[in-house]
Amino acid sequence: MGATVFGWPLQTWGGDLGVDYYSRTAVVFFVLFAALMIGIGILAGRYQTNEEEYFVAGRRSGILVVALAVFASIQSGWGMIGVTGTGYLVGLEYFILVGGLIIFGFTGSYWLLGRKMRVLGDVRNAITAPDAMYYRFQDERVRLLGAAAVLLGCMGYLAAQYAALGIVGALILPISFFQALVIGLLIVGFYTIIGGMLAAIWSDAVQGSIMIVGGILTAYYVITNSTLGWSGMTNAIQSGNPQYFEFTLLGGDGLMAIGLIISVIVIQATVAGQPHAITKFYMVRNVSVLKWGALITGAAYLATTLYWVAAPFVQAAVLEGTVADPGNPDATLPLALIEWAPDVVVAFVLTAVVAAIMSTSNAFLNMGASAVVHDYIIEYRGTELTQAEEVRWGRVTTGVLLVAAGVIAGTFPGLIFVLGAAGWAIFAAVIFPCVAIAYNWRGATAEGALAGGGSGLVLTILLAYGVEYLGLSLPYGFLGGQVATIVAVAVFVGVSLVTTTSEYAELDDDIRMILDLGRITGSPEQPTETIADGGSDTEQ
Amino acid sequence: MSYLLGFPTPIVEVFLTLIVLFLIVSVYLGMRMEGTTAVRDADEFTQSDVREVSD
Repeated sequence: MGATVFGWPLQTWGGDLGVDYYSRTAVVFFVLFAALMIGIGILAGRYQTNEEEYFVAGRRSGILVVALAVFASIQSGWGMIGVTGTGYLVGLEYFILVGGLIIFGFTGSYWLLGRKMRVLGDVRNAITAPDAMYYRFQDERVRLLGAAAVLLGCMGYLAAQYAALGIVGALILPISFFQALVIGLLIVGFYTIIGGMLAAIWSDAVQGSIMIVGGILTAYYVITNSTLGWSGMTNAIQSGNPQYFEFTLLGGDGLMAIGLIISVIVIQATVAGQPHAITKFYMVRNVSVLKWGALITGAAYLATTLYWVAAPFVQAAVLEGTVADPGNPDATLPLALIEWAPDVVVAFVLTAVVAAIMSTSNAFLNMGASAVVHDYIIEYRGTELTQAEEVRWGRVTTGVLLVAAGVIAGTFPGLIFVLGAAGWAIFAAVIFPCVAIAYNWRGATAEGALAGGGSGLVLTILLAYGVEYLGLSLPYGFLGGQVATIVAVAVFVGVSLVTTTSEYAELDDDIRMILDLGRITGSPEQPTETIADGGSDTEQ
Repeated sequence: MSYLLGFPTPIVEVFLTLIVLFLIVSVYLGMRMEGTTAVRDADEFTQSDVREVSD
């Protein structure tokens, strides 16, 4: 169990579930799902001719696929099982803080970066988030900082996802954690290595759809089949644990909670700094299809909040004594399903959890590989590769990252937590200022990017380690990773204000055009919206 | 006072308010957002094709 705030665990995901379950239906579903993923990998593999195909799916995807892929890569197994578990312990306000705010983070990322990144992909063939950083600042050190952040964050996320894959796999299949981990790695590795990003976003769309259907089924059966019924649930909690329905700011009333609230807002506001979300903008076939992306991504996410309905029902059933306390809070959702849903639904939803884990992990595998092959080997080192070599190196690196993350997942659980908990913040501290802000602010400078991103990266890891191992506790409920993000943005802005390298005036014409490009309207030739930013305006 | 779905606090109302706000903002964004005119056939930076971003 990881960090706690006001005594509540804010991230419980990753421990043994402690639930006994076996169903032949679940095995069949898992096998069918695995076969579908492998089929997608083989089909997408036929298109893999160069790194543009391998890492950004040839830039010809429609918005439905891309919007579902953005949602599926953000919504992980933790969002379904971990959040349900924490909400079971903490109360309903936790769900509002998580689900009610992140939908605005999605909208904000489409608004800040959708059009700009798609045009950047066009004029510079940009493939990765560090590409966007380099083209904005035209400094190879900034690219290296971005690649380091992407690789570190990816490894943390991957290891955490694979630990979860082993746990859920062992629940579905009659095998051990280690065996489930290896089988899961083989499946996700196969379709990601063979099919590249095209397989990743196709599988994301399928997995996202499975997750949405699973959410609807979960809510329906929990509400209709639980012995208490809706009014029984509210009455039981109101008499046994009335605080569960109240707004207590997670138990830290008044000023004590201000740091936690700010941290939660920072997490949701920095979706635009998550490379697994924003690099999808490179992949749409043209700019106009981005129109309804925010709506589709947010609506899909909201559909998966239906899993959380399990939490108050289990809470009420435990209070009434009709269901045993799940012990590990992560067991809340599986327990609710096993108690109240038909076998076929339990099997389907557990397959949906595996889908969520895989859809998040394939995004990170692909991004981690692109950080090594594209950003470091090809761009930073200047190595000339043929198109076939680009794809081959992409595949080899994806395989190496997969094995490395699997080994970490199987052997170093402490490391998983530090990197996994820090993953979002590592990305936010470096990529949010250096891409999301920098493409909307003419005054951003290379010195600001290096100082802000660098200090944010180091501070994120130090605080994650300190909170986990040194008993470090921040005042007012602040979360370490988000303090690091705030520091990174402040340093980025502060240093940019007093330095000048890579300001608007020094940039190439095409990059200045992207900075001038409106977030909603306007075209590269006729930008209709000038960004009010306080930056230099002497170069018009 | 009873709140939506029988909860003792306005928890559902707060969540629904946020969802409605999100719908308003994202639909507004969708209605206003424009495509861009072609950039590749006018650019001298790459030799890439001109099929894309031409809506």
